[in-house]
Amino acid sequence: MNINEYIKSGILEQYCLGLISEMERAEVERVAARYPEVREHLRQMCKGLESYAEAHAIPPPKHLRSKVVEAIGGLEESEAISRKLRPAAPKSNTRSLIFGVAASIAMLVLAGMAYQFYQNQEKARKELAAISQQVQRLQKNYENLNNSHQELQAEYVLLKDVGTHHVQMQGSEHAPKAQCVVYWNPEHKGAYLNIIDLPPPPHGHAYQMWADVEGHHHNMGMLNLAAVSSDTSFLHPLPYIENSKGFVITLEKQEGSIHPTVEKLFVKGNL
Amino acid sequence: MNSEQNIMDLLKRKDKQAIALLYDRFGPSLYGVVLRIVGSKPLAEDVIQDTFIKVWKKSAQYNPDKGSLFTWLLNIARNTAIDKIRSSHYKHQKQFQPFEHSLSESTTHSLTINTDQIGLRKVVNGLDEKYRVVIDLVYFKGYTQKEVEEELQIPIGTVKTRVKIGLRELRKVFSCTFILISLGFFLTKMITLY
Repeated sequence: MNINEYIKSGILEQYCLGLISEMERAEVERVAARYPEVREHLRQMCKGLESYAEAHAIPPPKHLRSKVVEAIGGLEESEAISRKLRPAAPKSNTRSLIFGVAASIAMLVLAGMAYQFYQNQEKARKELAAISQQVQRLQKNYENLNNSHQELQAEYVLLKDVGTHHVQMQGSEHAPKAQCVVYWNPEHKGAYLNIIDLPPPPHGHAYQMWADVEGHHHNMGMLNLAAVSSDTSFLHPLPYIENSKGFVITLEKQEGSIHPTVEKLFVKGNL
Repeated sequence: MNSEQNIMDLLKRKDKQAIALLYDRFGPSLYGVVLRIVGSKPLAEDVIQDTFIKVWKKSAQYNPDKGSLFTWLLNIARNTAIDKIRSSHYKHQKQFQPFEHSLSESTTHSLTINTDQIGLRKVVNGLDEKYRVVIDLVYFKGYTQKEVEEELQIPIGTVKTRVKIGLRELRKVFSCTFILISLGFFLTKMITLY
């Protein structure tokens, strides 16, 4: 392209005055972007027009300035309002809604966890109580078993001892079927009564045991038949009385007697 | 120019201050040109207001590589003004108004000469009349070259030549004036100093 010819053609002046089509304008701009001398000529021509416009300058009326500035201000505000309020309001709404929902969910989760925790704790507390109760029960059972074991062992030790005498006691005419055995060990000074069969005492009465020491009856205590019969495996422990030659069981009044009522002798046996 | 760059930066940031700065800097020139085009002060005020609204809205479109800020503003102001007078009412008026009449009318009642512009107007008047008429028709009336041809009864080729030479003369006149004015300023300063 001959640049000088292009400049001379007058198209640049036409460009400055806005006399050419859009397509031609684009072409001029393309050429100007490429050739500095075209750019410079264009600048000079436009400068001429700027000067021409300056030559026509007239001070505008005083109020026009504020009118223009206010018009832009109003524009800016309405733009700002349409830009800000519309999308911003629902945004902040959704944000607070999301926050609210999240907070509610968090609260529910926390409440649920707290409830679960409380439930677990309550359950554990109940279980612990049950277990400790059971432990107590087992301990009691153990103690009972241990006691009875010790008793039984003591009985067994006495029973198998060679020095133990087995005293058979036979029922009198009041109770012909009645039968008891006294285990008597002078060596260890231990004694047991084994009630094999004895009729229950009438109401207001109880059995009392006596030892026959050289013709005198010594009180050996009341027989608690209820206790004995409820636990038949146990022998009835008896106090050891020296020089006993025989034993009798009489029926006495509930609180017992100082001397045996011989007429109501139920069982009797001699060493 | 640096301050122009500042104004454009403000404008692109949508700072209202840019409009006030542009108005203060270019307002009188734009108002003068617009008044010359529309021929009525109230209308010129409307056009100026519309011009700045367009400037505000189109600020992103301004490209300094394609021309100066002033030229960009002048084009927006001129186009807005020309659109205004070409709306049906003014078009109607124009058709029945001989060009000579409208020109003389505008010079008589609206275009009070801006004496502050240090004799520039005189220089413009010093531009050869045959070029000035063509440029004024195009620049202030928005005429196409075809319309100028019809208006002045001269061949289109001549119109194109006069547009070309007219602008070049304009540039020459103003660069000379600029040198003369600078020289004048310099001399007066020297004189006052001594």
